[in-house]
Amino acid sequence: MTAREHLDSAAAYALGAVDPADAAALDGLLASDPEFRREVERYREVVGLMAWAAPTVAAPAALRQRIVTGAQGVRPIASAPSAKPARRLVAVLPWLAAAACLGIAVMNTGRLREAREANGALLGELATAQSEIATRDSTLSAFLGPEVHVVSLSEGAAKPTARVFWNHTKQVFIVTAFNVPRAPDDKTYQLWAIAKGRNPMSMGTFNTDASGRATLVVPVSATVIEGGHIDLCGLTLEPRGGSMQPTEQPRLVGSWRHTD
Amino acid sequence: MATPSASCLFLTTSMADPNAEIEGTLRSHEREHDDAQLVARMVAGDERALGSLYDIYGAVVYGLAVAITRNPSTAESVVADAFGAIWRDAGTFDPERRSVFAWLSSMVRALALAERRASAVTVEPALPPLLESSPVGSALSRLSGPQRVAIELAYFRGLSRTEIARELGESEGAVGAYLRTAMDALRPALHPGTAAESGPRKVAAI
Repeated sequence: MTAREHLDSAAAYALGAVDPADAAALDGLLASDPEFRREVERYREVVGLMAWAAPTVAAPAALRQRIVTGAQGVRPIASAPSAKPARRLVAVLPWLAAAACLGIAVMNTGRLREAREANGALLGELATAQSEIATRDSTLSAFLGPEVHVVSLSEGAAKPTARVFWNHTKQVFIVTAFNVPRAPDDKTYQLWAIAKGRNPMSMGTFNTDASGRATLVVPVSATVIEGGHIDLCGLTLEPRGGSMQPTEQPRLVGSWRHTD
Repeated sequence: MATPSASCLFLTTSMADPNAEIEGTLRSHEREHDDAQLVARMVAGDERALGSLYDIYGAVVYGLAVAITRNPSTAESVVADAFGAIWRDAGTFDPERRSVFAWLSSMVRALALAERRASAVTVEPALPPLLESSPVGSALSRLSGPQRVAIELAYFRGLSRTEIARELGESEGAVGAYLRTAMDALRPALHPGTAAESGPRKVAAI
């Protein structure tokens, strides 16, 4: 990759404008290349501030109260009693690592500089990794709360897998699929909610990308909400546009379980 | 969930003097340490700090959510969810890494784009008009046509380089360069002190 392509990729990555097929390689680059990481961070700040270009709109008067009232029932993560010991431990670990590195280095002063440099690099990577985890947690925590049900669909020992998260508060399904071959242009994958004694209910259609991956958010239909209970979830390949009822046996199937 | 329609209109602002409001908000943005203090109060469980953060940025991020989802009702839920996430995760905020506003607006954008993808928009409305009275809108308006369209498609519609290339009839490499040069041009507008830093990259502008 040339220096120019490097910068192009950093800008696109920060914007979230890279294709899934490129994302995995750039994820690796982000972890291994400090310069790329710095560029992505700089561009992310630009992306964050681009919101100033959107037309300012007066929000509904009730929105402020809705937000503040919603907060009253939720304790911020860092103020939870159990969070503090964990945070202290995380904070102490790098220093323990540093002390260990330095203790060894004293035995061989020629290695002291190397040890310090390695330790500094490791601390930098740790800080970056923690920041990345915090960012991803912010998004994922909306989906992985105690009000969420999840189902894993698999094909036994074969590779294709899918997971479906059901957030009952937001009434959305979050679907992630891996190694599921892209459907032909005249076909689509269709998810089904299956309850004993009832016809399967469509949860929506999707297709995977060239690498066999897909991540999508699907609103839960009124039919599924009214049904209230689902035993299984299945994935079939259907004609483009989807079917009223499955036309084949599910290629992937799984049962629901609660996340907590 | 309501499906956005092409006839969906932007709400008009009810502010008496939008420019004065915007300037006031920008001044608040410059006082980033005040924002960080609000987040610190949120970590301590002070809900009034969350309300204060909303008073400063609510209209801006709601406008962003409307611009992306084209649906005021969906935008309202997005903003409520984003502030809820900010409240819950306040302890993870790192002021050394990014500004509070960048953190908040990135959250709103991510949730709004997820709603947009889930809503299966069949008729794409035009890109939202920019607020050219803001430094960012002004900088965007000075970009070349393809650069501006490319970054607006990426930012407001969440399109990838490949999808933008298809829309513009350009190569993916050209789109990558549009995005990068556009963001390099925006950076000095957002951070006036970084013009020299971004200078070498301007050499590579197409």
